[in-house]
Amino acid sequence: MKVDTVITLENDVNCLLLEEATLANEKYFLAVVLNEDEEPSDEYVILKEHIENDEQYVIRIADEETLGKLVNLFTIKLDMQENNSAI
Amino acid sequence: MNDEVFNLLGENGFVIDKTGEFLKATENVDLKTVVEELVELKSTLDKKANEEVDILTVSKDIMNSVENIDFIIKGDDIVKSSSAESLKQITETMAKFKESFKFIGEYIASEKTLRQREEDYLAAKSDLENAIKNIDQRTDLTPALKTREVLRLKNAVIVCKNAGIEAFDLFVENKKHYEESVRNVDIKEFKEVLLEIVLDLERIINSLSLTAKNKIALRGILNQMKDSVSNKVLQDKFDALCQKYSLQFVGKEAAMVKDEMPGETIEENIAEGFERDHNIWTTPVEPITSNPLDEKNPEKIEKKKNNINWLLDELKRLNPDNEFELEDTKSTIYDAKINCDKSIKELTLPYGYYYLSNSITNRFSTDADILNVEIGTLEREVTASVTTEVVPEEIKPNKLEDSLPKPPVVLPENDFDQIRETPVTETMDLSEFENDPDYPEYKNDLGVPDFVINTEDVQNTASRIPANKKTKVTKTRRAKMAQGVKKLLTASAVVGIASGLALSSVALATLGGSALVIKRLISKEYRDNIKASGIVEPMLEEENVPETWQGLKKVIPAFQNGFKKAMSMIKNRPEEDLKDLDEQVEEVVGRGR
Repeated sequence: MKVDTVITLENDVNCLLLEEATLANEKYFLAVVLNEDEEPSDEYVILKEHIENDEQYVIRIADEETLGKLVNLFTIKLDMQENNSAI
Repeated sequence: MNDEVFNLLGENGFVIDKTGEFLKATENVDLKTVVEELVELKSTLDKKANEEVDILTVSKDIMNSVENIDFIIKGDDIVKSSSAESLKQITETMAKFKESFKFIGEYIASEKTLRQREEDYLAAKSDLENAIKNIDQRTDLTPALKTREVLRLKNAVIVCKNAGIEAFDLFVENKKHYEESVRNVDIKEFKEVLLEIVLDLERIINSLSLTAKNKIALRGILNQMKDSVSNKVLQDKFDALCQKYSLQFVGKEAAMVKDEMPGETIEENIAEGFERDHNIWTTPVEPITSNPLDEKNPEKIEKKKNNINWLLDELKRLNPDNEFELEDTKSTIYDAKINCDKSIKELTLPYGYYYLSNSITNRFSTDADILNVEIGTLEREVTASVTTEVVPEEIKPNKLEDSLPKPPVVLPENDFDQIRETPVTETMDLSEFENDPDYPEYKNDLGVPDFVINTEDVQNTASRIPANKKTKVTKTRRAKMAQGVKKLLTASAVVGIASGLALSSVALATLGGSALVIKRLISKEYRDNIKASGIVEPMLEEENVPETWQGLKKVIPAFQNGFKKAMSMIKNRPEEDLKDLDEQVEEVVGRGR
């Protein structure tokens, strides 16, 4: 999985992967859920990548402590991109 | 009632520290809830202390954090106004980290490269498969062009595949070196060395001149690093709670005293009545003699005195810019009192020592010669004096650090900068594929998604993706969107998730200055793009944008609306030449080298 892709889940939900971060050797994605018209909805999630038997899975993160750490990481990335584009 | 409360505290290893403070803090409080929270924290701490964590996981976390710290400090507007000594120390501490990770840096770098090349190969393969499906139906290609196109796509896959194989071979080689290097490394000692460096780094960062925003961000990162190597954040939370209720954890054995209190109890006196015949005004004053027990153990007393003097000398050595003074104490809790002109949390402590609310101790790291020393405040006399030029003292290597076993060194080929993750500088502008029918449709004619704009607060609804459960990915496709749209969605996502968090202290501690970063981004986007297009939205002016997550959530709809209107006013979008696919592949492969 990588950013700037749309993934379709087994329950037919589509998510647009916006940003990626690594925490404790695991890959996480900041994503927005798309509606039936494939437009971004107001539902935002953080998904952990999980590979098993060469199949790709995602796990939606709900633990607040982990969410807090990841929000911090994603914000730092956003800030870094902002600073890089300003240079 | 007394027995019940005593058992509650004692069974869980707690005793009362300062009586007055305990009584005041627990006046209208359910002590059971407090003790339960403390027990849960202690249990998490003990569990984490015994957790099997491999060096690779710890190292990757720390290296990522160090890269972020390095980037933030170097990009700070006012850091150069810091003292030369502080700047020298930060450079040296960063070098210390580099030294600690020499044996692992190349392995991690090659693993990252391999992953990137694998992704590039899969992407190129997917592009080829998609193109093959449709190329025979394309009417815009001549037979010769079609032949060239197919061969070019095929070559692209081969180039990516070969690059992947090359990366894999390098990865295997570095992995072998790494495994040989870590064979004899003790993870506990490795983490303890890292903790010392992290505390050092924290002390130095506190002495730097930095913008408020960066200070907050750095504090958040440092807390994460301490958490990775030592559960410091959790430990601080545990200590703060103990201090709030004036409780001390001593373990069940020490807390469950079987002896009775000497002398009569107040209840017994009240029940029986007593006559006071002790009158200090009429009887001679008797001196208070020292504890006869201590007199019987002169060796123990001497040994303790030596340990205290050693601790004082170590504190002076590790904190050369500060003053320390030993003070006599008759405390039954502390072995000594050392006054210092610095906050306890800013002190560099000797190996094995940790700070609690107002003392330092080594009881968590050793069973022998335990010391618990109170740290007080030393008031410095402020006198006007002529400051003389002082040649900065050369920083001497830490003797204790040298005595610890270090991981074997792998010859450094790469500079630390080369190990850092490739900064995200390239813009994901795929607009050159606008007219390419091979790519799945994702955007509308304006290049802007039609947002469902809610002007009311979003109600909490259950997510369509189940939490904490594996959900299979059945399909992946590329998305096309302009960089500005991506930035907008990313900021909205961060706000959406952060504003949904309950403000528990642990989550809040890690968020740091993130809300300020998002506020700055929104204000800048509004000023540079939305307002510049003639669209005015007062709530997006910098002075009106809130600094809390809940506040930011309220401005996001206006931000999205404004952005959409601004984009729709752009009538003539510049056309980009379709780049040759070979060049693109080379660009992608070259990024991975």
